Amino acid sequence: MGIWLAYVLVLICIFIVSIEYLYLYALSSRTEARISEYNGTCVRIGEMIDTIVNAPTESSLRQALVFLKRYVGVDRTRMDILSGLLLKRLITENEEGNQNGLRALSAACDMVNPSAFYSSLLKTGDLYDKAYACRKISGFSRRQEISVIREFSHSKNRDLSYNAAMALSELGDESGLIDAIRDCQHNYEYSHRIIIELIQKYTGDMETLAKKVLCGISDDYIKTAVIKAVAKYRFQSLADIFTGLLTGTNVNLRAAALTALGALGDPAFQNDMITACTDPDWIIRLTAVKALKNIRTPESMQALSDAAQDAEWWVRNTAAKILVGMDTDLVYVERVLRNEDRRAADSILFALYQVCDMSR
Amino acid sequence: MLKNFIVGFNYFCMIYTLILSSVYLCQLLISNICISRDMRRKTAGDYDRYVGSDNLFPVSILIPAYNEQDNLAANVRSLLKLDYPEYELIVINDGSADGTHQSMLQTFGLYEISYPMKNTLPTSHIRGVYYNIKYPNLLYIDKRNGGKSDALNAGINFSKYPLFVSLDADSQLESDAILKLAAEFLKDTKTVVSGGFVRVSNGSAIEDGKWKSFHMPSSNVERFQIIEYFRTFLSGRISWNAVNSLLIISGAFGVFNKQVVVECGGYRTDSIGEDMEIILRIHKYLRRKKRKYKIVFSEDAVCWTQAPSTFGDLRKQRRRWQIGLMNSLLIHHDMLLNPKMGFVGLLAVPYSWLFELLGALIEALGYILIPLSFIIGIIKPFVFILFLIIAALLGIMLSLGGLILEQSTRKGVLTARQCMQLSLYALLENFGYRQFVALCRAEGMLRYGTLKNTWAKVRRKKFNY
Repeated sequence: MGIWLAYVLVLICIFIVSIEYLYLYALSSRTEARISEYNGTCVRIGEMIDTIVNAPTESSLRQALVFLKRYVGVDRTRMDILSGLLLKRLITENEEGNQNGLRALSAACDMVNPSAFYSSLLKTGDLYDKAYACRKISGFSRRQEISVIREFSHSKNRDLSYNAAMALSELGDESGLIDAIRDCQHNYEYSHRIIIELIQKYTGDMETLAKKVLCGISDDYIKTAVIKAVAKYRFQSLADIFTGLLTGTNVNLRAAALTALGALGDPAFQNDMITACTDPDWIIRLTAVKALKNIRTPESMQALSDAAQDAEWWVRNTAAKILVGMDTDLVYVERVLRNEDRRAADSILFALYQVCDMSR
Repeated sequence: MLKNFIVGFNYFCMIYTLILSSVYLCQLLISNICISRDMRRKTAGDYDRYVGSDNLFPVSILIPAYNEQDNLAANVRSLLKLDYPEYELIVINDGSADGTHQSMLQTFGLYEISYPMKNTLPTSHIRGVYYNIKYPNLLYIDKRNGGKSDALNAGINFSKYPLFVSLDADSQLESDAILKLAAEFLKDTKTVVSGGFVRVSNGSAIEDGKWKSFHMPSSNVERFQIIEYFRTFLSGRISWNAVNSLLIISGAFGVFNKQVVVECGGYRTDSIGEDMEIILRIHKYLRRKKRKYKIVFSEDAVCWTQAPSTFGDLRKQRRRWQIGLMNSLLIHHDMLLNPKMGFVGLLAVPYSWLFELLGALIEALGYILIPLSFIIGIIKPFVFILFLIIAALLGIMLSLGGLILEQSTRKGVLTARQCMQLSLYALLENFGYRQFVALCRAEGMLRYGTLKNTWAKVRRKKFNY
């Protein structure tokens, strides 16, 4: 009985191995063919775009466009390649100021109409296709689809909701984006860096968006991310909101507010930062030191040289690096070096190594 | 008495082989499903958006090096061209006895600087810190020999970013590999470690982090390892990843949340399998703290590593790996069947004890006792041959499965012809190679006491840049 079972097992194994061999052969041949076809298609479509951009006459342009449309058809791979290359080329031609090229590329977009293709994918594709289509549609700035994309931004599938939110941001849809950010309050799985990216890609009025989000959302995590995102735009009108947050208890939110105030570079806020340089929490001290980078006054330089003697390694070294960068006369730097605090002197020395070529 | 033992052991071996193969086949199926799902998910992947963005986590790349004069400088040069927005490269020379130190100083014109030390983790004596303003994101540390773990701890002390990459000096990264792993930390704040797919570079030409071409390596031992790596990474790692129970992120390439590693006390300097030990410790620490976390594997992030090209070097490497496994499992023996450790304690750790650790001894013993029982007439010739055929067929099935998974990732590294050539090695590896590896692993376990705490260097060829 056992032997018969063993024979059966051998036969089953031989059968599976044979199937595996056949499948492997088919799979590897298909993969090779697909890659070679993909590379060939990329080259071919690239050449077609070149022909369109450099078409000498209207009729040759029209002929090239018809040929491109016929070649791409409704093939998904070809459309993906075309849309990618078209967007890239549009950016290049725009940077070079080639008006004829831009006009020809716009004609290609109208003729092949990739944005309509991706709009239909929004309706017919699976979740991942829809997510991909959101990205493509935002690339082509097709605002007609905003209402559909808004719905997707609330999807439980994180790939879809993420791509939809990013598309809304790039399409400049304020209320859609605010809703998507509000959704993040219930989904802390995203790093705050994704929320920052989401805001920084916004193509609408950033100042209004920031005000609405900061006033309309109570969640500290989201607020912190929003403040970090808008800090670099230096909106003076938000200064009151930032200063109001300095007295709160949430360390991350206070740090973000300090960063945003620092980015404004306004000496009117330097006292807030100098006070924060002596805060018991080292993260606040570190942020205050970084914030002082944009305010070059004797008071801020003094605060930085004091911070170069901080007990915390990060605060000390960051202060030293900033001080070396700001103190061109080396007055404060020399003062710290003469000081008896060896740790502070070491930090200054390391900062100097990072800006001076000591190999000579 | 002895006869009874041998007969009993033969039966045990047969049942063990069947159970082990069934487990591996399940892993293969799970991995196949995961890869198909990941291929769909890749459509929606958006990691490349972050290439030019400030919003990607900056990373510190730590390269511990010991006697790496042949490859290190060239590898560092290639890493300096990495396509990543913000990173620093920290090379830690762990008291190399060859020309590694001089080679680094000369190649990059490094000079000694006074560096304000941060003693987050204890390490052996730092002899010097070197820098050159021409390479602002390169820091070179020369320290007294203390082992790979100690070198990594030193690297952590000098690192300034929240994520660090542990990278072997003889490994090469694909240009977007770190980007893909760092994106895992963006997508999910619970991610604490992410590991990539380590592929055998023997036979491949890699230029500036881009794979260019593949030619079948010259020696059979290299060809066998290509198959073996596919099986290990694409079947084993992916299936454990599916249940968040990965017990190892290869020391050759992994991205870690620095804060978590520091909270766990850094790498243990008395452990030889530092890559597995740190993961086990992270599991234990975070589960005890009841913190939600994820340790992820991404087959899409590729690191190329040189596999040993001689049986002598392979023996050294596999001995070392087995000692590392044994060491890690012994240190964390309290995780075994511990319900507080969830899936990890109830499934992954017992699996490692039973199939990875003890499996080597059982397999090696089987290779001795089964032929012996055939010779002394305890088992009939056709039963012996039947058992050998079944064992070989199961092995072939799994190896071919690994190759199929590789093809399913659609990387296109192998042509159809090369794939079929390698499939021949999937067949041949069951007649000599597997047995050799099992014996090396068993030897590692038996010589555990004498071989631990060594770097056990393996000779490498120069990379084909």
